[in-house]
Amino acid sequence: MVEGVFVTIGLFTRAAAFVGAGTTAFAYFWHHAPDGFWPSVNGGELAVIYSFVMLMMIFTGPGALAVQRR
Amino acid sequence: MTQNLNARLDPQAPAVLSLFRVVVGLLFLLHGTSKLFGWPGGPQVPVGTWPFWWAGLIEVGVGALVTIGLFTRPAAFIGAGQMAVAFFWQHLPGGFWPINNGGEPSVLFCFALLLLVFTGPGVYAVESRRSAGRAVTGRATRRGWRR
Repeated sequence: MVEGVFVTIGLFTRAAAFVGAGTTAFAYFWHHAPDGFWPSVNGGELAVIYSFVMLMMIFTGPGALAVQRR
Repeated sequence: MTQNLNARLDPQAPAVLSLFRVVVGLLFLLHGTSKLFGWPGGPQVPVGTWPFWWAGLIEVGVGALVTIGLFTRPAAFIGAGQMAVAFFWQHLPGGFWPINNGGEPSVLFCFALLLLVFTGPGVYAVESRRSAGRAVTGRATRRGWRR
């Protein structure tokens, strides 16, 4: 939840996204991957998307409108 | 220290964007194949069923194009539109919050694809090879990531 707030308002976006990407990657391999290989079958699709969205935000930063731009 | 970290991360953004694009494209493609062919899971939708078979058709087309990075922006635009429709038509009647109405993947796909409409495919894409220099989008500057 803390990561979500930071990413939403755009403060420490990269650091928060890094933690978030790690969390969701863990969630995927720990909780979803044992149920099957394909994300749409094992219920882990959301975890995959969130993980890569966060991974991308580590590298792009928060974009134009963000608290940390001020 | 943060500035230093930003300066090291920014130049990689176009490459990571391509990785992101491939993952989003493949997941979208799988939604299409599970509707059209029943693979890798889920019930197969009979050919021509409105709207689900057509949704699957769009998902296969958009998913394939976004994955390889060909006509990325128009394909992503169509996919984002489809996901917006899917959310408001199929999921919103089930409740306001995406977590409860089952529309969270639609929202994420919609905005992931919307982002790709504006960023383009990143460095690694078929269309960057087709017209070298023109379609390579995403460039790191000192102030952050800019097109």
